[in-house]
Amino acid sequence: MNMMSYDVVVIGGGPAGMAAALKSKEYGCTVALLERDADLGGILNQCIHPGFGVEYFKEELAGPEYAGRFTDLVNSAGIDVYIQTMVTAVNPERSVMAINQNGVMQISAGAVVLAMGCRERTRGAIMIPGYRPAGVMTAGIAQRYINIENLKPGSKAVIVGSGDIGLIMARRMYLEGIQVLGVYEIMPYVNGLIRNVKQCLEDFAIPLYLSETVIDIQGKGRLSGVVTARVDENFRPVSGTEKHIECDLLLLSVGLIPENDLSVRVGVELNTATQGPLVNNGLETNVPGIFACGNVLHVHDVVDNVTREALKAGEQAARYAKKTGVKPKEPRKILAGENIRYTVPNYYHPGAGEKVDICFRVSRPISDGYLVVSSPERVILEGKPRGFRPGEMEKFSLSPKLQGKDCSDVILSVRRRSNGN
Amino acid sequence: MERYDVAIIGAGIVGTATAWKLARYKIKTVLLEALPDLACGTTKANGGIIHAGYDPKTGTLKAKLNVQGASEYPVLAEQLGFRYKQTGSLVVGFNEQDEQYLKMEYQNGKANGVPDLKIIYGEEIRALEPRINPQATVALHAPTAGVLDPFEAAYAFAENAHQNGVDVYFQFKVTGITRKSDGFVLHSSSGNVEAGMVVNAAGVYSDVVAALAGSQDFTVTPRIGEILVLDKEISNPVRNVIFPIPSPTKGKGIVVIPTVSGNVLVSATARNIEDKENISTSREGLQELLQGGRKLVADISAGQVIREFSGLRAVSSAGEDFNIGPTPGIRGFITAGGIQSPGLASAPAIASLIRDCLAEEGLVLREKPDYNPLRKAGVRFSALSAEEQDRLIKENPDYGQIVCRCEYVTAGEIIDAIKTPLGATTIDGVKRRSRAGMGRCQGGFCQPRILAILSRYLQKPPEQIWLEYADSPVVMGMLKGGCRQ
Ligand SMILES: Cc1cc2nc3c(=O)[nH]c(=O)nc-3n(C[C@H](O)[C@H](O)[C@H](O)COP(=O)(O)OP(=O)(O)OC[C@H]3O[C@@H](n4cnc5c(N)ncnc54)[C@H](O)[C@@H]3O)c2cc1C
Ligand SMILES: Cc1cc2nc3c(=O)[nH]c(=O)nc-3n(C[C@H](O)[C@H](O)[C@H](O)COP(=O)(O)OP(=O)(O)OC[C@H]3O[C@@H](n4cnc5c(N)ncnc54)[C@H](O)[C@@H]3O)c2cc1C
Repeated sequence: MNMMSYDVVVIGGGPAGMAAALKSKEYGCTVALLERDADLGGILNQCIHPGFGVEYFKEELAGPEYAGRFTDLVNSAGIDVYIQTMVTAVNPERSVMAINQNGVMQISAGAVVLAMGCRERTRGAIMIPGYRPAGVMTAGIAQRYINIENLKPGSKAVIVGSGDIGLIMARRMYLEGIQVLGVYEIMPYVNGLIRNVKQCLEDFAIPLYLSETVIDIQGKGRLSGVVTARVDENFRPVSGTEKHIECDLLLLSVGLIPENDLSVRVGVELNTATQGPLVNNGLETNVPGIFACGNVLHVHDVVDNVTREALKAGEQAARYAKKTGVKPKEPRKILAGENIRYTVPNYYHPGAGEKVDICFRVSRPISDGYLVVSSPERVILEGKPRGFRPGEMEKFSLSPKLQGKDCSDVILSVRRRSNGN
Repeated sequence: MERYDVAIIGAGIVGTATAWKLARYKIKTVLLEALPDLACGTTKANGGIIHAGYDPKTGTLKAKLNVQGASEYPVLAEQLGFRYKQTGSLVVGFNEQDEQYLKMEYQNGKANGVPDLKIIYGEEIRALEPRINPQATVALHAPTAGVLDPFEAAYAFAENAHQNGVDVYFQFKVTGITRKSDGFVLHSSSGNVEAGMVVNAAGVYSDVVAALAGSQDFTVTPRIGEILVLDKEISNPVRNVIFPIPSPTKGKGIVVIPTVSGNVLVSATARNIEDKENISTSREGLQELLQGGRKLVADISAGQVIREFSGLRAVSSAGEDFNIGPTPGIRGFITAGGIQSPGLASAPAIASLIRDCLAEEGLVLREKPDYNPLRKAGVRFSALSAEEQDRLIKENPDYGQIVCRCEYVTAGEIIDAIKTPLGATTIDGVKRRSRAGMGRCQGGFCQPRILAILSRYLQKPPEQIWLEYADSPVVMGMLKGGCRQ
């Protein structure tokens, strides 16, 4: 067994892991970046569509280009990169076990950054009844088959769920000559970004059916068809609205969940809303010296946000490893109030004189609402009226001034202006 | 045409166990299976319980063979290298009426010869099963019950049979049987074989196969049973197989089962259907399972489900009991009909009974001196210590490449699953042999990688690799502009 030691060990070499590793290195740490795949870049390598880097690089890049720029930086920064290396365990004393073709490695780390990305929810998780034929797959697998392996996953497709990957794959399949019969979304609103609805469905005349879902899967060997139906307010199929659709491919784009196996096993507490770790404003989990960023923390729709978050995690991990962080005071809570599904972070340390960047998502679309930030005693701030959608991640900065002298717990809510929605 | 002494039709648990049993004798045996792999019928889709044997009525074949089978499995697991876990089982009651029932069950079990049965109460139950519904007041504890992965046992039986000389043909669906003076000709679209005697182990199709030979004695109605698989990490496993009090209409009812791999199964609904190919799941079934499961273990929830599937019980018109034996008027044709639960638990004993029937029909059985009763289990990387893993990777770097991220299955194990005799040729074949794709992401990460490995080792293009059944490709070929080197 190979025993090693680093100031900072970063698990996962996607955009989050790369940015975190670079930042820790800037702070003078020895850094190991561990990636189970053969290339750095994570999910970006199969996202060959444009739309990455608009904020960070002020340019519209394709996923692999964005990944490529960071890979070059990582490779010239003096970071020890281990590819085809899978981390199998982390313990609370920050000993990291990993496996690659040379054997088993045990690395002791001053600080650990979790950056393992996320995984797709599957058919089992949403319990679509019917047969279990070939031709039913997640949108991400289809994306891999098409964009990486140049294989055709089917010829006539139905997509269930309106997550971003599904929307992007609708267009991608269309361009590859695969017929796309429609996107079926059980909710009364779209899950993905509005720009993707426009650019991936509307521009290609691919129909979108809201409040409809797939209720039966047919075919024993290869998929031969599905049955769709409208659903009522409780998401139960409405009888009489069933439609039979002949198809040989069913893509599921029904949500992403942080890859939290390692996090759970090391004792990291999860946020039930995100399934990612609960963190403070230094992106540190409840296990001291273990930080999280990117999709393993909460699912992001824009990679620039991942990068920004990861730079912060890299900085904080470096400070922890070098013991240069100030000993923080008792943390205060950041709570999800009315109409808020979750916030990241979940805690902040008062009195550090820094602003606290908060990301949040609403739990349902609100066309005419406003953000309310309050403490248990008072309203701290009310935002301007505007629309909110669960598909878009929102950002808010709590300045030292707003934290106030009392530095109490903070509650985020979105209130409706009128009685409509 | 190849001539065999015995042809076994059907490679489920009954067919494979019979092949294993016969492999020790100086006879030529062939195992014929309609599907592309072993154990793709009911044997892949059941609760995996090795019932202790208190339930079948005393004096029935089920009672005798179940108790005998259950006593053989622990030894067989060692010899043949499959995982078996003696978990014990609890039948759980909530009131006095239930207690009366359990006492009757206890007596029945004692009469069947089930060892160490005990009626237990209150705290005793919770000590054995902390997650049990707190309202449970009384239970029948059967410490000899256990669990296994049924397909793993079938692979072990078949591989041992094969290594001792039994031939196995896949995609050999018997579509006609001609009787001759010295035996039978079995016809299929891929050729014919001749056999002196035939064992009909065709599961829900045993009536159809019997009819091909000219016997119309019984019909088989499929009774579909749906099953849920729960995630490992979030459902802290139960320790015992937990049964409710059976109902007269629903058979054993909805049972909560720990698996050898640390998952939990909730098994099974029961509904008679017509189509012998129908293994779909239904919305109602899934709800029924969740509700039934929660009666025994309250914290079971939909969020823990990673997979649903269903299997078909073979309900015979000849009665509730197993219907095993020679066919009147057709010498040398042994049928195993109506092998519903506890068919899995009884399989080794069913195999012995079938052997005895063959002998009675005149088959001469002399033991082979060179018979090898042992089969080596394959590598299970995730079960090894870090030192063992390190050593293994240094011998073969394929074990240092993890392909299935949920179950930590390595490329080395997947290659083993393909290269082993009677190895995997399909994605599901790899899954059942190596567990790659059985975890919470259900192949979401590893399927393309497994497809690539299968394609390389079977030397077939990806579009010719099937998911499970014939003609079930997961991809349809290259995209435009693609070409192959
Ligand atoms: C289909 C899709 C389309 C998108 N489209 C856009 C877009 O148009 N514009 C935009 O700005 N953003 C887009 N995004 C969002 C953005 O790209 C992602 O949020 C971002 O890539 C997430 O980065 P990450 O590093 O957290 O995760 P990932 O990119 O998933 O990287 C995680 C890495 O960790 C590795 N890993 C995991 N576990 C282990 C382990 N145990 N050991 C070693 N390594 C491990 C993985 O192999 C992977 O390489 C899209 C995302 C997806 C999925
Ligand atoms: C939901 C459910 C739960 C159960 N739980 C348990 C349990 O916990 N414990 C237990 O002991 N039992 C259980 N059982 C019962 C057990 O699964 C069966 O008794 C057992 O699997 C039957 O095995 P078999 O070999 O007879 O049938 P099968 O496994 O169905 O094998 C028959 C084989 O014959 C092949 N075949 C059919 N026709 C032809 C042909 N013409 N030519 C060639 N091949 C052919 C089929 O393809 C198939 O592979 C359960 C059953 C169900 C449905």
